[in-house]
Amino acid sequence: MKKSAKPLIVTLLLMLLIITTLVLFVIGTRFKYEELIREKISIEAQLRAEQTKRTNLFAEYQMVSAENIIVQSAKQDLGMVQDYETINKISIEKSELDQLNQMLSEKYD
Amino acid sequence: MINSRSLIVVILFFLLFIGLILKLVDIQIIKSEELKYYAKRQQTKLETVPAERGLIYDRNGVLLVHNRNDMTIYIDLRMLPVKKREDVANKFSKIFGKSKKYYLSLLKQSGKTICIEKKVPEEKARLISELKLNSVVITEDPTRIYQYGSLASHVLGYVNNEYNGVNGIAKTFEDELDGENGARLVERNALGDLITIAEEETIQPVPGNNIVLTIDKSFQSILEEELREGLKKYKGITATGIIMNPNNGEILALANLDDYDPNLYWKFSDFQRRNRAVTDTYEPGSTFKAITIAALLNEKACYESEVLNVENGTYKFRNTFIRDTYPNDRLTVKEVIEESSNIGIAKLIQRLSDEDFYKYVRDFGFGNYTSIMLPGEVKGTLKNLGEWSKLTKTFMSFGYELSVTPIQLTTAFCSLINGGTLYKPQLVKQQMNWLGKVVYEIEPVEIREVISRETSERIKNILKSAVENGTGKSADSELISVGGKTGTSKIAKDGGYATGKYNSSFIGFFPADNPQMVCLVLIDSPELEKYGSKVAAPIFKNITDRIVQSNPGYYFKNKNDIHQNSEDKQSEEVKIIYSENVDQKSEEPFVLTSNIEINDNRMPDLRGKTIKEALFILNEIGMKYNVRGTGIVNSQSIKPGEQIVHNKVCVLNCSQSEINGANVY
Repeated sequence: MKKSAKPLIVTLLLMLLIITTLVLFVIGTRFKYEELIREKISIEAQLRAEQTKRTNLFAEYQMVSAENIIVQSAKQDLGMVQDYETINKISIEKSELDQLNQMLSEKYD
Repeated sequence: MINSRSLIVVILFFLLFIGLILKLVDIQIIKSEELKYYAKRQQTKLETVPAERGLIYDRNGVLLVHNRNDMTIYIDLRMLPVKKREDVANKFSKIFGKSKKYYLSLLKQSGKTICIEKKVPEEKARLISELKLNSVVITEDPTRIYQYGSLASHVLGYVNNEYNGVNGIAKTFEDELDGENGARLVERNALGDLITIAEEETIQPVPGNNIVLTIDKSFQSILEEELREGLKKYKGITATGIIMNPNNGEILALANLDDYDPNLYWKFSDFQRRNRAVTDTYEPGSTFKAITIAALLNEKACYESEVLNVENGTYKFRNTFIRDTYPNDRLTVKEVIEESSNIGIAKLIQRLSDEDFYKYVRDFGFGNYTSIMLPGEVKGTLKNLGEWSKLTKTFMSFGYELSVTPIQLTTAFCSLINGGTLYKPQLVKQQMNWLGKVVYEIEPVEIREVISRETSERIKNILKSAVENGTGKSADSELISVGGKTGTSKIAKDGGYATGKYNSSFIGFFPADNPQMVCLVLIDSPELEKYGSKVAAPIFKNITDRIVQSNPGYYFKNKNDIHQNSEDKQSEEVKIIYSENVDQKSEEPFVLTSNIEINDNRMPDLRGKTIKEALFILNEIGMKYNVRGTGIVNSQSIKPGEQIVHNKVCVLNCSQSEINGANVY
C-alpha cells in the first residue's frame, strides 16, 4: 500500500504542477493579448492621427504652392513687380530717318 | 484530549470550508447573473468610434475641407484631491501656456467633471496623457477645417458643435459625408484605465465619402476677389456672382458677398451665412430681354433686321408710360437688345399670346426650383396666367412683375446660348468612398429643349453684338470674344420700389463663338452708379480677363466654329466666319488685319498685332501664352522665326499706344 501511494502523490503533484503551469500560461497569454489589444488601439489612433496630419499638410502644401499665393507673396513680401509698364513704341519711317540724318549732317558738318 | 481538540479544529475548518463553499455557490450560481450584470456595467462600456467625416475637393483635386484630430480634456474633480490641484494647474499651465491662476480658478468650480481645455492639438493632449493623472479624461473632438477661410463658404456650408452639416454641401450631403460610426466594448478598471477590448464585438467605423465639387478654386477666388473689389469701388451693399459651364450645367464658381468664414461661423449673421444666389430673389430687369427675344425668335414672331418705331424714348401703353434710358426714333430688333430698349421689347412681345409667353418663361425654368444641390432654394415669383393683368406680359418682357433667383437666371441663360437645352445646375462632380473608389459620378441632366439650335445661334450673335456695339461695351475683353446683356432694375420694397436703389447686373458668356462659361454679376444698390453697363459689366470684364489669362489656351480648344483656308499652309489669311449674320453691316467677320505666316515649326511675328489676333494665332499653333499689359503686342519672348518648342510659354508684352511716324527734332 505504502509503495503504491508514493508514486500516486508524485503523479498528483506533477499533474497539479502541469495544471498550474497551464493556468499560468493561459493567464499570461491573456495578459499579453490584452496588452497587445491596448497597443493596437493606441497604434490605430496614432495612425489615424498621422493620416489626418498628412492630409492637413497636403492641404497646407496646396495652399502655399498655389500660383496666386506665390504671386501675392512675391509682390508683397519680396517687393517683386511684374513688367506691366507700358512700353511706348516710337516708329520712324526709314526715309524720314535718312532725311533727319541728312539734315543733321548738313547742319553740323 | 489531543484527539478531541484536533477534532474540534478539523470540524471548525470543515465548517469554515462549508461556509466558503456555500458563499461561492451563492456568488457563482445563485447571484451569478445579477453580479455579472453589475460587474459588466461597472467595468465595461460600449464606446462609439466616430467615423471620420469625408473630405471636400474642388474639381482639380484641391483640398478645400478636411478634419483635424483635436482633443478635449476633462477633469473629474472627485478623483483630484484638493492638495494636488496646484500641481495639476502648474502642469497644464506649462503645456498650454496659460496662467496657473486660470487653471486653479477652473479647478475650484463645483461639479463632478469640468472641461479644462477644449479642442487642443493632439500633440499637447498626448503630453497631458503622459502625465498619467487619474482624474484626467481625454476625448476625441475633431475640428472641421475650411482651408481657404471664406472661399466658397456658401457652397461648402459648415458643421455645428455636434459636427452636423448646416448649409451648403455639408447639409445636402450630410449622410454621405458623415459615414457610419463604429462601436467597441471596452473594459476599464476602477481608475478608468483600459483593460481590454472585446474584439469580437467591435464594429469598425466607415469613414464618410469624399466629395469632388464642380467648383474650380481658382475661378472661385477670381470671382470673389473681383466682386469684393467691385463692391468696394461702387459702394454696393451685396454682390452675387455665378460662373457656370453652359454645356453641362456644372457650376464653376458661386459667391455671395458679404460672406462668412465657416471656421468661425458663429461670429457671422444669418444674412451673411445665407446663400443668396439660391434663397433670394430679385426682378431681373433688362437681362430678361434676352429670354423674351429668344421666345420671339423661336416663334418666328420677328427677325433681327426688322425696324421698329421706339417713340423717341417715351411710349404710352394702356395708360402707363414706358421709357427708355437712351431715346431713339427707330431701332432694328437687334438694336433693341443692343440699346436695351424697353419700348422696343414691349412692342415686340404683343406679337406673342400670354399663354405662349408664359409657356416659354416656365420652360426656361422660372417659377420653379432648379433642383440645385443646395438647401433653401426658392422658386421665385411667376404669376399664374389667371393672375396676369393686361400689363403683366409687357412688364415681364423687360424683367419686371416676376422675380428670379440668380441661379435660375444663370441656368436659363445657359440654355439660350448652348443650343437651346436647359440643364440642371450641378455642384458635385464625384463621390468617392474612403478607399478612393468612385461611387457616384455626375452626368449632365438635360431638363428640356427650350429653343431650337438655330434660335440659340441667333441669340448668341445678338448678345455678342450687344457687347460690341451696345450697352455691354464695358464688358468687352481684348483677350476673348464676349457676349452678354446688361440689366438695371429697381428694388422692390414694401409693395412698391425703393427710391434710388437699383440692382445692377450683367450676364455674359465667353468665348462668344463657342461658349464655355456663363457668368452672372449682380450688385445690390451700388451708390456711385446704377446701370449694369457701368457697374456689373466692368466687373464681368475683369473676371473674364483674369480667367482667360490664368488659363492660357484653354478656351479655344473647340475649333469647330473656326473655318480657315488651309490650302496653303506656309502662308494663309486667317478668318473666323460666323455661321449666322443677319445684319451684315454690323456683323462683319473678324479678319486678321494682315497676312500672317503660320509655319508648323517657326514662331510667327506677332508684334503690332492686337491681343485678340495674337492669341488666335498662338492657339492655332497650340502654344501656351501669357499676356502682360493691354493693347498692341510690343514684343514676344519667343523671337519670330525661332523653332517652336511645345509646352514653352510665349510671353506677350503689350502696350496701349503706338506712335507712328513721330517727328524727332
